[in-house]
Amino acid sequence: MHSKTPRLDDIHGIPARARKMNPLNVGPNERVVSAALGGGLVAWGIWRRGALGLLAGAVGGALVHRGVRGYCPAYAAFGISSRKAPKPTPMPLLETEKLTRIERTVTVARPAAEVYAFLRDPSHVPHFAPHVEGVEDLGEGRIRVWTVLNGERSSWEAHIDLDHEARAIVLGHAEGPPERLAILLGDAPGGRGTEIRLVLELSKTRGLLLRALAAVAGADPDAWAHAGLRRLKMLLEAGEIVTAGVWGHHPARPGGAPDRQPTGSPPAGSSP
Amino acid sequence: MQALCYQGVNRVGVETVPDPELLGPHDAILRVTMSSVCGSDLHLLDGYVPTMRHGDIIGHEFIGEVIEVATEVKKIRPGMRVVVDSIIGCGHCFFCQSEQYSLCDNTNPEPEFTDKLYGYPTAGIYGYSHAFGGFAGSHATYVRVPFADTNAFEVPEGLPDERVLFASDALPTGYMGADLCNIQPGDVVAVWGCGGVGQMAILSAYLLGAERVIAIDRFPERLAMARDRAGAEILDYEQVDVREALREMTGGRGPDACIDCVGMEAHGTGIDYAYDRVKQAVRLETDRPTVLRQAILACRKGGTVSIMGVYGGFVDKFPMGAAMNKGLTLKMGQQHGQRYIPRLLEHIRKGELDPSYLITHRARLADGQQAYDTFKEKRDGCMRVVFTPEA
Ligand SMILES: NC(=O)c1ccc[n+]([C@@H]2O[C@H](COP(=O)([O-])OP(=O)(O)OC[C@H]3O[C@@H](n4cnc5c(N)ncnc54)[C@H](O)[C@@H]3O)[C@@H](O)[C@H]2O)c1
Ligand SMILES: [Zn+2]
Ligand SMILES: [Zn+2]
Repeated sequence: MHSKTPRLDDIHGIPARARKMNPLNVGPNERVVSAALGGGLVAWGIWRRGALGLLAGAVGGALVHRGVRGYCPAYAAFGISSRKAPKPTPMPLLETEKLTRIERTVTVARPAAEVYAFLRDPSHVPHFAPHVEGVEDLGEGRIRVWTVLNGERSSWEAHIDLDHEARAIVLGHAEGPPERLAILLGDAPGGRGTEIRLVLELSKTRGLLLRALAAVAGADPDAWAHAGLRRLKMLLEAGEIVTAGVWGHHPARPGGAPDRQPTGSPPAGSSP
Repeated sequence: MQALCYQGVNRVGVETVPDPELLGPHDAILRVTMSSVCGSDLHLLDGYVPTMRHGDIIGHEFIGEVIEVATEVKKIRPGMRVVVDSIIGCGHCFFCQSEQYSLCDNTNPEPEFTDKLYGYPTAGIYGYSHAFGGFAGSHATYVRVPFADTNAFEVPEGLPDERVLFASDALPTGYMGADLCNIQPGDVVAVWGCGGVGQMAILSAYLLGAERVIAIDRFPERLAMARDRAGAEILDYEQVDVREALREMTGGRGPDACIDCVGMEAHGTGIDYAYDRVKQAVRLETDRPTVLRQAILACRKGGTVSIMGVYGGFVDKFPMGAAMNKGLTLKMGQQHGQRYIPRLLEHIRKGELDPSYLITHRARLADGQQAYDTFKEKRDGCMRVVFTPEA
């Protein structure tokens, strides 16, 4: 059976190319109405013929296009949108890919726009992601992630796909199995802030992402995800990652990630 | 610096440890001027709270002078005298924003344990085991206070340490215990336990409008204090059948509200107490709910049971049927002191509250073992021992 990598677009039901070229700014209901109305106008135009028919056909065509594509140039010109950022829904998992999926969610009492702005700045990542020392922006949607574990530094390259509208960040890589790391933001109800969902799709056949993660997460990506989100929440809400420090004759906290305040300088060449 | 450290079950000793440093941008460092023992320490020392480690600095009820603040601290300044809530809030999460500081999402750096045991992790507490964050306690020359602007409160001018110290822990705990009872005019409130927390609950219940408060304990000096200093009617549970007595004292109705200020190591007299001791000793249950059971049975129909005594794990023979069929309201929690401290300081300043009578003993850190033994055994009329840490 031919299998296809689930893409970010499938998560949100957004046609990929349409979004790449022009961001969606027409809400789903309006898209249906627009397409239906446009279709009607076109049909009427064909029946009516003449100059008026031609005009109706053109307007109808534009409306159909707007409905199908979900993009309205007039809305764009005025910077408006009738589309709410969709709630992230679980990603379809393709059995044939032998992927393990790990999902962790945390609610942060900050607005989604602020959370997204924080997350899309690669220089912030080392402050909360355990063992990540730096993220280098290579341009053209590629990044290099530097990790350090037990003093040993390594790096791996990934595609990064930012969806400003849906407030989603997806990492994947070119070679190997279709693994992904996705961060999806949704509004928590009642003004409680933002639900941040971290989704890891890791190849059981040990793709690059899993190997990279295994290196940093001590083969426990779930604990890594959990700790990372918790630290992210502390940073966004409280403005620091609280620590009990090392005192008395305690060596350091056992097992867990070493307490590290965001002070480490990123490796040479990484973006500031 | 010198610090009083946990050295095994019911063993404490002074150790020389490094001075605390500013670790986060919202930290302050205090020179501790007074630090008190608390009933909660006994649960730790008795070995009922796991995750205590040799060398942990204990103590969480304290007052001191600010000697250093980190960059992001705005309100608290060096030189200020401050009283600090024993439970650490971040001030910004959903819970802190709704004034439920002891449920803070962000102040427990070791959340794994309570996350598993309780379903979600709770706030960090000074000197209160690694399950509650592994923070250094206050029985020391200096203590580090995270999120100082949220957790430290300036002491109003002219008030001596003695009067303000308990605004750190025992007073807000007792006050919250009474506050949760939603006291109405004419209400009779029963308080189990006449330790520091119970005494403060009695005073607070009156402040919040209780008609009568009935206090229950067995130590004569403690009962006498409850009567003479806090104005309660008193019951010695070794002399009377508490439930019978409460029923008779309330015209056959039962108390409108019951506050448990005893917790998981309740002492008792009956067969159920023997049963709980055995089960707790072999760890089939972690907590002895003698008082909790009694409070639920004694409470009037439709009344409130407010639980401020600490429970850590599991209890047995919980009278759910009584609670359910009598339509009781159960309220509980570690104290959200930051919500109450400003108004409590105001009560103290105006002379409406004076908790200083709780101080029956003073000690140096070096006498820590003896201090805790005296407190645990309630010898020599001991209510609370207060340390004045040496430099
Ligand atoms: N919820 C909170 O935030 C918070 C804060 C501080 C203390 N506490 C808890 O409050 C409780 C009391 O603290 P404390 O400092 O007053 O302790 P304490 O040890 O000084 O006093 C406890 C009292 O309970 C009495 N007692 C024991 N068994 C009893 C029984 N069956 N009936 C009536 N009284 C009984 C004891 O004789 C003693 O006087 C402890 O469990 C402590 O952990 C809770
Ligand atoms: Zn206490
Ligand atoms: Zn908080």
